[in-house]
Amino acid sequence: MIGLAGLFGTFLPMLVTACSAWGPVRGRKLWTLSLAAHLTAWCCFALVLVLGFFGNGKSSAGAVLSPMILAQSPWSDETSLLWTFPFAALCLAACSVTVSFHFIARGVLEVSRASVAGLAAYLTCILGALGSNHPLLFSIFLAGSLLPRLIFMGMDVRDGRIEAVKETAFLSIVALLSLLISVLAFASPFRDTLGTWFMMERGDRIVLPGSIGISLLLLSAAISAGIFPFHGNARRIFQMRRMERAVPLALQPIFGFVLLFKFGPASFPKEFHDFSPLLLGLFSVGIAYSALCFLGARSARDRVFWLQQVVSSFVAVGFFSLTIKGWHGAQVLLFFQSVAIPFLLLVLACHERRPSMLPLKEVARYPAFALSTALATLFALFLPLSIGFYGVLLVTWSLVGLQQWPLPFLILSMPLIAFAGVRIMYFRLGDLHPSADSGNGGFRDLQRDEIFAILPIGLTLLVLGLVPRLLMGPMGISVAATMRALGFKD
Amino acid sequence: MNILQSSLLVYLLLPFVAALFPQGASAGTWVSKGTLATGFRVLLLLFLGRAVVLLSTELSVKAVLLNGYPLDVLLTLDSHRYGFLLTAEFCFLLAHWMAPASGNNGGMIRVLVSFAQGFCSLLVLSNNAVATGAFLLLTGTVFFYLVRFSISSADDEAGAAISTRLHVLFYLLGLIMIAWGIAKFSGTGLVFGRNAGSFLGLALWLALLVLAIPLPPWSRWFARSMEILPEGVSLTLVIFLSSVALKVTSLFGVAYPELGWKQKFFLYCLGILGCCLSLGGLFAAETRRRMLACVPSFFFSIVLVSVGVSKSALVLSAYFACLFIPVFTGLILAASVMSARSRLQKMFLGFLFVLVLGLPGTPVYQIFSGIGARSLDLGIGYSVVFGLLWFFYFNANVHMCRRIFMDQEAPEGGADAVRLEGAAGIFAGYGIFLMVLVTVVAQIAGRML
Amino acid sequence: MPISEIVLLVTALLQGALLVGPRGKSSLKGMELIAVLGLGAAGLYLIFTRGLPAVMPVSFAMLEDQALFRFPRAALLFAGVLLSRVVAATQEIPDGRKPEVLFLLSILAILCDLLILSRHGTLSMILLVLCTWVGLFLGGLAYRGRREGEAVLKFWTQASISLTIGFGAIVLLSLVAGGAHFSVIGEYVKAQPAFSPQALLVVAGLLLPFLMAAGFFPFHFITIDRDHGLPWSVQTILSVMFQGAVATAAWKMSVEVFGHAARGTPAGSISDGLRVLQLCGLVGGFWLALFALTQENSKRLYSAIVGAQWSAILAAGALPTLLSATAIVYSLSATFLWSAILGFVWSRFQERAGSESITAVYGAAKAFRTSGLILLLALASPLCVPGFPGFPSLLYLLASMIEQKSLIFLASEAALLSLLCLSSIRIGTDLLFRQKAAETEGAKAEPFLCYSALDWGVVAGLTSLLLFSGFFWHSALEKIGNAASVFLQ
Repeated sequence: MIGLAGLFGTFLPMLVTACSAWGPVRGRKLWTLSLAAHLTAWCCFALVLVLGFFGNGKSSAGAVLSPMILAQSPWSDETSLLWTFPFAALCLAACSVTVSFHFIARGVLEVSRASVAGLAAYLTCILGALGSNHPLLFSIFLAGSLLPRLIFMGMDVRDGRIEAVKETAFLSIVALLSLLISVLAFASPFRDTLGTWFMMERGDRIVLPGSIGISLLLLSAAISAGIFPFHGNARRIFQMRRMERAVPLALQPIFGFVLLFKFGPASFPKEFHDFSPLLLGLFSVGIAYSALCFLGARSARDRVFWLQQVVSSFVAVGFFSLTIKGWHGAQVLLFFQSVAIPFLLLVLACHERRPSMLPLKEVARYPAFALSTALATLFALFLPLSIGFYGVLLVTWSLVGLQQWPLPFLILSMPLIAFAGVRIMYFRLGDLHPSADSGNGGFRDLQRDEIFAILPIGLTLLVLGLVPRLLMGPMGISVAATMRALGFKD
Repeated sequence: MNILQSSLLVYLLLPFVAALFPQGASAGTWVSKGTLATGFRVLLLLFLGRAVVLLSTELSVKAVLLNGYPLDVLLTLDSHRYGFLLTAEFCFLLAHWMAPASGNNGGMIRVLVSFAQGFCSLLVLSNNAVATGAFLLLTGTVFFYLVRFSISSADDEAGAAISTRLHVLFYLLGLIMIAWGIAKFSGTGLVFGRNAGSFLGLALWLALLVLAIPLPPWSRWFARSMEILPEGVSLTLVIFLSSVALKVTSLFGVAYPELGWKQKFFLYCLGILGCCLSLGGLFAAETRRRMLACVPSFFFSIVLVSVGVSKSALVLSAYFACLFIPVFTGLILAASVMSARSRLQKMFLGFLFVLVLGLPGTPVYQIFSGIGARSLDLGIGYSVVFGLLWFFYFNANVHMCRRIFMDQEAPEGGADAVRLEGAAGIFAGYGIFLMVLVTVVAQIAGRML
Repeated sequence: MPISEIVLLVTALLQGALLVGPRGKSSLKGMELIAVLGLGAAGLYLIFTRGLPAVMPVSFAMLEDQALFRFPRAALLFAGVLLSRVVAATQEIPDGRKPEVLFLLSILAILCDLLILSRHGTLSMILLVLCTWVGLFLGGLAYRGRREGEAVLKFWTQASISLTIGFGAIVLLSLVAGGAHFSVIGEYVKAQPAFSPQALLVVAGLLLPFLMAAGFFPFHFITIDRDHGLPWSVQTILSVMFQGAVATAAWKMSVEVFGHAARGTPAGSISDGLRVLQLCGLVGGFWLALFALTQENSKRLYSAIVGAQWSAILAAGALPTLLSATAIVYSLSATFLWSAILGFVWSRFQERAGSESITAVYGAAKAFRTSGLILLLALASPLCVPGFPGFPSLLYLLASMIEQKSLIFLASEAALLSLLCLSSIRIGTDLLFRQKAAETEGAKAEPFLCYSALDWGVVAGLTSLLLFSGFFWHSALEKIGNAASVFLQ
């Protein structure tokens, strides 16, 4: 029953896609329909979380399984959607972001049916990817996200940046094909039909297949997540004319990291063990690099982008530590990234809508605006009232006693973030020194739609930061169970 | 949870809860939600004093943030911390009265002062490295906005620089505290305690101590902040820095009771350097406010000196210094705006002079006597240096009194000098009360600890 | 004679009768209707009578109606239906010439169908030459000036060379192998060592005419150069129908002749003929795909991407396994459909803009929303997107490359498919997201690009078929797989 709720929640937005593409509903009615569908999806996943993991006799270490949805011989046996706690929480986060987007971009959604269709299809693909328990099923959802993302980006891209859209799409194709090859060649049951293909042995070690498979998987994950060295791929969403459209697209890294968490070590346990020190070093350097760029960023959009890269790098470091603590921290940061970065983009979008700067000393007159920016500061600096703090702490701590040499990069990054965070602390994120004589004529506080978009997410993150065990407790239990099942120890 | 623990919890949460209530339009300088909350906190402390001081019990409150990890918030009140907190609360009351009340940002400033007050007590009471570091991280943001809101337009550039430095400083302190805790106390659930030493842990703690103390060579921002910030904000900052210094030095007693002589000597030299530069700045100061701003720096440097000459786990001189600095800062800020017209004001200034000079029974006397006794134990070199230090301190006091009593220059206050000058009588009376309080607390602490 | 051929012949006869009769608008309408009905009926017959046994063998066993190839044949005919609408609507061909063009289209459909059915080398050569000459006539009918004349001349040159080489090869093969039937040649090849001079001679003799006629590597530049001078309607006919039919026939022939040889060798090894075809597909595909990336002339661009698509499919079919055969047939069928739809819409955009440059139709898909949606569906088809044929096509093509157990070819094919996807993305992005060109602004005054009811009906039908085959790909591939197992036996 609970699985059915999850299944319904996953595919419900597709009805919106169909209605917006072919149905008679338009304008405000279509917006309302879309919002209702997304809210219903949110409710479904809230139900999955509450009943599936906190109900009678349930445990956070368990999983919720939907009815079978795919059986494609010889590619896959009967596959269903499967949610463990971290991924169910991510589903809820994704739904929250899209619901918020409905409010901040009401004007856009009421006039553009393509945007409504694209948003709904994109959310379905994210939810499906989060629930897939077979690489082929994941590939289908990853492939399905290509068109909606292309439409979303292309419709509002800045003049002269159309080539960026093409590059993004091309890289996504490359990621998809890499994943498909990896799935076909190294995932059951098709792999079993290939016999001894790729089995080049040297002594008692099979040297070729795992390296190729993991390389393809990592390539696909890195491109999908928009992480170094493919961070330029993630940067495209910041090329838009209006930042509202970037909000749902900020969920894109979910694809890459879900691919790693769900299918990486399960498919290539030995190779991940061998490769992890190297990748750990790479992403540790990536954290420091991103922090430096965060410090040197000139515009607010760049700052948010590099902050996203910092968080992604931390997630990667936590993942490649291959410890329970590291994975726990990485999962927390992934959730944090999925909510906090869209939140920052929402705040940024509100800022960019206002033509005049707000002098700092006037801020008390605009309490909603002030609260939103204060929350943005909290999350951007990983301060202790946000779960990002705990995620970073766990990831850093997981390296102590294990692989200590990346630690200096992580530690060096934090002061850089502190310096860079100063710029976010000033109201009107783009300006360091609001000029004293600029009046605030025409400045207005957050409107109702903006409040509905921003504050629920912000306050949710704040509550989770104040009571971290609400989210992190069950997440830790689930992660520990997963890691032990994979044979990894703390 | 018994009544004492509940009282402690209420005491801790009160400033944050009070900030949620809207400030009424009729609230004035003397009665505001911040001052009411502070008054109530004082009452709660007095209520807890019987158990903590007289019965020498420890009160603890614990909040489990996350199962499976040692990330709990563990807060413990003992007599050592009680003395500081009681003194600090009265200083915060003075800070609330001194804080700007009018203008758009008056309400915001008071709210932020309340937050700083709350984090101060949390910091002093925390027994867990991550919690301590977390409070420091958060406080950096609070002070960033506090400085930015309270600075006048003419001092925007300076205010921006100070706020940035404060934010980065506290951020770094928080990070180092957490790193130190993980490096040294991971075996004991990150709770402060005696543990096997490691070079990394020691290095981190030394860095923590040096950064926490605003020493003149690299902390000119501190003197500048005393000059340009409103009195209430300056006082809040000093109280918090004192609490940080107290925290770090008390951790010395817990974690490194047998610190090596090289490290102590290093701290001693650093402290002496700070003292010399502070006194030099005092003599060279152009304005009265700038002159008075050097004295807290001097006493902060004394904290390092006392750690450097310490023998036992408990560094009493450092404790007295941390106790004295907030009170003294409040007093000199009040003195800086007075014209010494009324009898009460003259009494106040007289008592202040006595206090600062270090007559027997005063905290300054206790500070110097402790350091002096240890210097004598350590040899002729230390004794000579101590002698010179005391001599120059005495001269500095004379110089200060001459500038305050005999110079014709007008009182030079911060942003709110006019308002404060109008209430100089009240501040004078309260200042006398504070002097008596700190002397009593120091005496009791000296006997108990 | 297969029933579908009878239907097509009747179609051609009826059109011929109308040609002979008095000309006018009604006769043109009649020609259009006959083309649609005839080609459509033949295609529907092929789809819905799959299960019927192969019809009686014709004389000399030259033709064989295999269930597997009914799918691409049906797709070919459906593409022809749509392309007839392109002919009907184009302004690049004078109205007086359109009946002849439609008639030749039907003739070409018959010839292409027979080419796929052919099992005899001589018959295949004859059909190739005939097709080339039909193309030549199509180009000539569209003659308006010097450029079309040059195209016709190039076509004539190509046809002549094809004729010479083709028949020469067949004669030589007959002498060497003892016959021109594919089974005879296959037996001969089976007895020869791999890549021996005799085997290579057979490979060259059989494949060269196909490659030359359709313009695959190493003759890929011929079609690009030639098609540039032809009208859109003729170009799409040749690129989609003729080139696709030749690709299908070439692959079928290679499997029939060389597939046995592969099966006789250790598992995983590729026979020489299929390897050569694969290499031609790969090299030609890369050349055309890279050419397409930098191309701004729409006709050349269209020829390049369609040609590259055929080449990429040929490159994947080197190992005749069940999976590979299923993949190839499905991909070929899908390509017929989406390339026809693409040509249908794109040609209208360009004609209305009055320019051959793609810059003239920037943003056109946004200006004409319904056409834009259809264009988007067509361009999304080759992409690896679920719900479209591209996803199962790429999945199966990659799987068949994996079966060949060669890293280099797998990587090459994956790279080629990526480039093809990039080309589709590029066109879609330019037509959908760029700022509207001035030419598009001017053309906006005309509503709906002048689609007739018949146009809408045909487009809707084909688009639905495309989406249906993409969404229910597993069922479609299962049916193809069953037919493939029969073929491979």
